[in-house]
Amino acid sequence: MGTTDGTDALLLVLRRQQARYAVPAENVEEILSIPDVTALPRQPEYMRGIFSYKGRAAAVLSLQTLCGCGTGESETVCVVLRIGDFLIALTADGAESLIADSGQRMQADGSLLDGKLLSLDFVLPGDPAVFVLNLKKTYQKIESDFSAASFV
Amino acid sequence: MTPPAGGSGGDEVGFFSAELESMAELYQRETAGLMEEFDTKQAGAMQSGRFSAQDINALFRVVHTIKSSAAMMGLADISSCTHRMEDLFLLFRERPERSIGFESRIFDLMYLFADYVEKENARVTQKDFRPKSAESVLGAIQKEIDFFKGGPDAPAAQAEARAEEPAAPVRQEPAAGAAAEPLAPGELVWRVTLRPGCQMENVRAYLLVRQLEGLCGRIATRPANLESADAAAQIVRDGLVLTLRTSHAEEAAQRLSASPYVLRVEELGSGNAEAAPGPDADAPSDDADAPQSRQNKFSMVSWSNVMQLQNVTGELITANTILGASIRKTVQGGPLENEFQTMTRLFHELEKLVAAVSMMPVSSVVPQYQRLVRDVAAREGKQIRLAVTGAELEVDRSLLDTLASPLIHLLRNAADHGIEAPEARAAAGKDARGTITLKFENMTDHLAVTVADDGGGMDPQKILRKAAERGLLTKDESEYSTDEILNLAFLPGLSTNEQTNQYSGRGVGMDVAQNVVSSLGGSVTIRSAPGEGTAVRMEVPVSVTSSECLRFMVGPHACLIPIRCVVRILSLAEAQEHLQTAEGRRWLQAEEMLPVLDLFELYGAQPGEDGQRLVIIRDARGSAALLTGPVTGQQTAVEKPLPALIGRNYRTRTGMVGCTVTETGRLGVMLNADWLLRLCGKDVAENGNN
Repeated sequence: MGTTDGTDALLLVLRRQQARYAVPAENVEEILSIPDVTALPRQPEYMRGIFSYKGRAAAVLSLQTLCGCGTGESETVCVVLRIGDFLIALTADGAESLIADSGQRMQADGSLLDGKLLSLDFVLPGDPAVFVLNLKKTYQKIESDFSAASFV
Repeated sequence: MTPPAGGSGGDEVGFFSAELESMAELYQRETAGLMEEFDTKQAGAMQSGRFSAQDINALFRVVHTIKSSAAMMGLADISSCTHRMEDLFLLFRERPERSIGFESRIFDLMYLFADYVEKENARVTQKDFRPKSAESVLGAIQKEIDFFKGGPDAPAAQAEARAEEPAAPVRQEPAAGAAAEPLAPGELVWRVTLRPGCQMENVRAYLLVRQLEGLCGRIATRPANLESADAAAQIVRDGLVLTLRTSHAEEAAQRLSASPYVLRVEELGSGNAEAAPGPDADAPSDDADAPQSRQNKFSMVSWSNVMQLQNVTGELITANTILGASIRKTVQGGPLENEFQTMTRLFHELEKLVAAVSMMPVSSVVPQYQRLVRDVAAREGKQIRLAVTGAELEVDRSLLDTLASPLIHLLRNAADHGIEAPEARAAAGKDARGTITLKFENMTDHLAVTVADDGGGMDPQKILRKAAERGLLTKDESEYSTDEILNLAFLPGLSTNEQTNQYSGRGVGMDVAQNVVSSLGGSVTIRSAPGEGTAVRMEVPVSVTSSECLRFMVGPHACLIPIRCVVRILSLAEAQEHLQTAEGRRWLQAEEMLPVLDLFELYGAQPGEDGQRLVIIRDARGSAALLTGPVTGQQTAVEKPLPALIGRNYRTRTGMVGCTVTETGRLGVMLNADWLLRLCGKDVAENGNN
């Protein structure tokens, strides 16, 4: 177990079935309904496809499928996230609320991690607990997965 | 350390005073432009192997102008460096023969000087800018001055006799007022109004007058003495009045107008109406009674704004394409469709204008390549000449910027591994000095860039052996043709060089060229002959905004490919009798045997019941037939890159290099003919022009 210092930042809480995940609100560009996605051939299951967001093509990833528990069919929202210079869109069952990032986090036990491609370094105490996505690490993991896999 | 220009020292305060800080960006742009001219002149001299009188004069002008601007900004080190460079160029100006035989030495010094000034200039707008000492550069310049002064044919006295002001054709005397004195034939009177608040107006005026050097035989100014204490105030009040005699009035006006400090240039009078009739002498003048306003014809525009303009234009064209599809669905003909056609025409006009704004001459990027080749040659003890052809072409700057990386790699490869050492060349009966040719060609809708060397060429057997060692071969060695072997050089990490150095040898260069060019929708070909050299040719489309594309389906996937690559479209049913199966794959017997690339198989899609087509494509690599679903139309497509997340392997494995908004508003994927042909592997039918 370990803790980090608190900040004034906000977190956006997303719902995936009964579980709650949070992403830093400062990374959120927009919350949309599921857009008209163009599927690409030979892609991993969690990659729903691409769509045009403000003139750029953004990859749309399914939170459900990334967690390895569902096909993403019940997902209704698409959260566009900016990670550095990159854009990704994460689809989820819903966007629940904004909460203050108290910083009172506990390091997650490895067994709590949902799916190998998500980086959930910390969980926010609560009932139920909120898993905070480390976006940068998650992006890097997915990028590595793309590079390593022979989808074709 | 150089004291802060604003006089308000302290570490927490910027180098410049508030007033000068507001000028820093202008100074930076102006200096960058001047250094570009400096680099271009140097590249020209390197091409010809000598300095012409014009080169020396131009270089002198450049350093002189930078000197004055730097002094204004309080940049004492740059001002000192440029002052010494003036001294050096003055030696050559007085006695041009001094430079003969020592050009290489002078080029080295010029690089040293340019490096210092350009690096300083790049930092000058940074908040924490502090000038770096120029001590070593100053020392190097002084050493050369001493050397050239000390030569037997360069009497010291001659150089010492330099007046504080360089010999200039400027004669400052009271201007002939347009109305007060009759003007001599050929004389012009202009009023130059400087931008309000540009500061140090008299110094700006002096620099402007100097810019006209070489264009005007006689220049008089009002105020006459630009160095006087009240000259600045007079210029603010009345403008700078120039009386000049020139046969290059248009160019002179352009030079003045191009200055960022000039608001406008007006013609107050001319003495050429009767005495010097020109071709337009009889043309009615619409400004007989009023001063003719010469608005600035040029202005500096931030490149990020131009790129933004390109993007917005692309978005407009995309939106227009979608709108057109909707209009066609709802109305057939009539005024609405006419209006749409007009809009489409206007958007294409806009696209052309944006393309024109984005153009820059190839010559502007040549100096960096000259430098690169020279550095490699010096380091490796080789003698190499870089011959550039097509430098006069104008090309979209984004394209030139994007091609910089592959060009750097290819030129390094050519200099480092292509051109042999002088002894080896001599032993082979070649000139000890090798030549690398960098050739730019305009092919209407394509730009072709070739890097060719007259070196030792590539050894196909060595490439084959390396590829085999790395497990990169896909068939028996004996089945590879020479061209196929050479194309193996494009595979990542395949280098036949036993040793790497700081320049090349890791097998990256060809791979980079391949990937960059493919991302632009172009193709790369390689030709090499042992003992004769190697040529790598890149062809890329010149339009970075839009291209006409054929749209077709492959199962659920909407795909587009540039029309320029499409030769013919056949229905599968029609072509059935011309299809053959050999070596485990299908072939289409057309004018030649074409391999069939089944896109359904490639993309894991199910073909529909009917509507399958064979789309025959062709590019520099060869030809092939793509098995696709139904063709759904043609559209102007603005290509966008695929998300970076997807990775470049995806492009190479699918031939999908980008995406575009289709008429339905959804994204379609852009296919690249070159990658698709690569996916056909050995079976691509080569073009006759290969």
